Amino acid sequence: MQKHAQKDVCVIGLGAAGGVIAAELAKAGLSVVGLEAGPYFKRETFENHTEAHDELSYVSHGKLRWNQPEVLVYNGGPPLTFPVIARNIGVGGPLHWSCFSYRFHESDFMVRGGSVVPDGTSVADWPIRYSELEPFYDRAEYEFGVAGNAGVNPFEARRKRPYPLPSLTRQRAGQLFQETAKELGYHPFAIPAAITTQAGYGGKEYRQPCNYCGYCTFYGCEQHAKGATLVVTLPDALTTGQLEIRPYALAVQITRNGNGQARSVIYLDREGKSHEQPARVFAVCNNAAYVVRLLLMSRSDDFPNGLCNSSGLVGKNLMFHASVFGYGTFDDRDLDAIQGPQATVAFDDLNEDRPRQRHDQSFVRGAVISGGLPLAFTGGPLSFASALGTFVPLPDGVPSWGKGFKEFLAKYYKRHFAISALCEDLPVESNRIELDSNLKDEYRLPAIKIIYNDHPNTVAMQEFMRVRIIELFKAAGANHVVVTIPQIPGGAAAGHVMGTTRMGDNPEESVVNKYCQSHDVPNLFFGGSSVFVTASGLNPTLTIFALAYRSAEQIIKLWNQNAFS
Amino acid sequence: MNETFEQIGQELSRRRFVKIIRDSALILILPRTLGCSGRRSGERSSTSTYQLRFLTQGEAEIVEAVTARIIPSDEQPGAREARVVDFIDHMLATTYVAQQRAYREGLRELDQLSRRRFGRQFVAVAEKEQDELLSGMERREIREWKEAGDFFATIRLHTIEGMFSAPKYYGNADRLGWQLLDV
Repeated sequence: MQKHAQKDVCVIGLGAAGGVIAAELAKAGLSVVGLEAGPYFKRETFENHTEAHDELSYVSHGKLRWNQPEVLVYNGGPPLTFPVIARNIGVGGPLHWSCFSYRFHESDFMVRGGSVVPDGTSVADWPIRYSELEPFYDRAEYEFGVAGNAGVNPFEARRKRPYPLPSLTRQRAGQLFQETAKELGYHPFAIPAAITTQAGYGGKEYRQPCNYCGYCTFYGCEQHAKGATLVVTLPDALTTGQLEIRPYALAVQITRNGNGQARSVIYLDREGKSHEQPARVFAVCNNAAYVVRLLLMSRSDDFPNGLCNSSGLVGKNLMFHASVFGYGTFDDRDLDAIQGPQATVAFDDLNEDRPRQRHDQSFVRGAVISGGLPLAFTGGPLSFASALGTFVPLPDGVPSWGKGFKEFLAKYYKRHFAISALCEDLPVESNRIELDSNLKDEYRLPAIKIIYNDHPNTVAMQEFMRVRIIELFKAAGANHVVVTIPQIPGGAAAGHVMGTTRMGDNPEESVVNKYCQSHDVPNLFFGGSSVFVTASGLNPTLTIFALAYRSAEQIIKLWNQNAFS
Repeated sequence: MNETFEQIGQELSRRRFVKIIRDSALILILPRTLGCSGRRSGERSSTSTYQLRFLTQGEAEIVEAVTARIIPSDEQPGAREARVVDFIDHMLATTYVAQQRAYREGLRELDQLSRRRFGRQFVAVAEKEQDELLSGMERREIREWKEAGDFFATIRLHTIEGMFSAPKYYGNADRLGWQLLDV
């Protein structure tokens, strides 16, 4: 065991939350060490155009993914073993993301008080309101550089000032989706995206405007237009000399001292050697599924059910975003959905509680619907061809190999677009993550086990959204229309893992307080979507950024009050 | 607990390159496998000579014939011209080492199946008969060969990869795959 000198702060996981918290605390003068399980790709890695678009590496082999075996028990079916969770890795994340940068709606923070609560769910209100988070949303938008048009989405939460950057322009597929949605009475808008549309944003000359290459999802960005902490927060923090970054550092245990405070993190390096890193404050910012594993592996006599788990809720109330996904093909229209970022056009008319309130549906809450993107959810010929017949079905009558398959690929690579509904998944206590008692991962650590059943509310919502998406494709004039409900919770890429260390005022009903601080271990903070109380029908990352800025502010405040001495 | 992690560490250095998931059925669900990418620079054309690294000449002929049914050649070039077989051999010798056995056994099974059904080896039967065999594999209808469905899914996916991935991986010769899609 290699022992390291104590730091003020140890951040576990340098992604969306960790990259913000580590940078904020370093800039405030605290000594910070950041432990990242994945590699440290420097900016230059992504700047070689040919390498940056290597689909086999980034998409097929998941270069920015964890790729360890996990067990899924879905709707009571047999256990399936594969890398279920789209755990994304690498210093300075989110590197892989599509940059959809929504603020949650006001109602997303108060689902219990604002809607009917279906039986069997553990829906609760957040301990904070939108208004408390608004300044931090604003901060995140301006730091990362979100491009968007304020005021076009009539359902957008109130904001104090416009987006810092003009929105991305639409490619032809996005335009067609926008026109079609309008015809059907919806209110489409350009998806706010943390993708810079002007050169040198934030005084960083290496951040160039988006070049519409289409290689966003699963890739680093060759323009550094995508807002990753690698290019936004970490560079300034590193110049302070207060931040040390250790890649390939896999946290496996948090130890405690006699006063009930966290004392150190045990981690494994690339060679499998163990290290001990003491600190005065800890921020656990890894993937919401792996936060659970770390806490459960840190069980002790005081905490037999795992660290920070006096409530028994660590790992429970697991949420994904239930998905409905489809594509349409067009014989005579070159739409080129492959080009341009995947953040194109969306509408919010069927989100929050509007399906129930305005469309006479029995289910509660809703989904954002996005359109104009490629069917593989990312650009490139290999992604397109390898998705079809595997996780994206071919139209009836089109074979999955041979002449008919080849003709379909050649004809529709540039003549299709996809529509996706991101459905709000309600928390259910029995949907959970545990440690598998048999399966070990490559590090010989217990694999995580995901136990998840669809709530009838979600099933009804997905069916409603499926029909709406088919209507949109028909109205757009598509000849082949394929719309599916994925057979894996969260879709083919279970990227949005939420709720596993939920936030709340009552320590018996939640794991962390409103500042994402553990109720049980006060020098331990959490970053990331594990703290979400409910899921919203919107992408989570801007909210992760905002919460991270808020937690960092609170840590600095407590630090200055000597709360951690 | 700490001692346990020390032990894990010692074990880990030996096991680092031992990949856990080898079940090719997984590929049906998600088009991703474990491992690092092979790195060879330089692009190739359909006329360049590739030295086989894992497949025998006979196996390579079967692989080439199968890939040519998955993405056939017609007025537009197919997997054969794009040298998808070279991609598959290269990957089996590098990143896809874990699937070597599945290929070796699968190709032998396929040839035997062809001999049983049509009295000749796979590469010698007509395209229509090859398609019949491959369809049976895809539909998991071959009772005496239970891995047939998984093997078909694997070779189908690898054919697509070899057709459309960057030429540095030894397939997509002359960028024929990309030309097909008008990239």
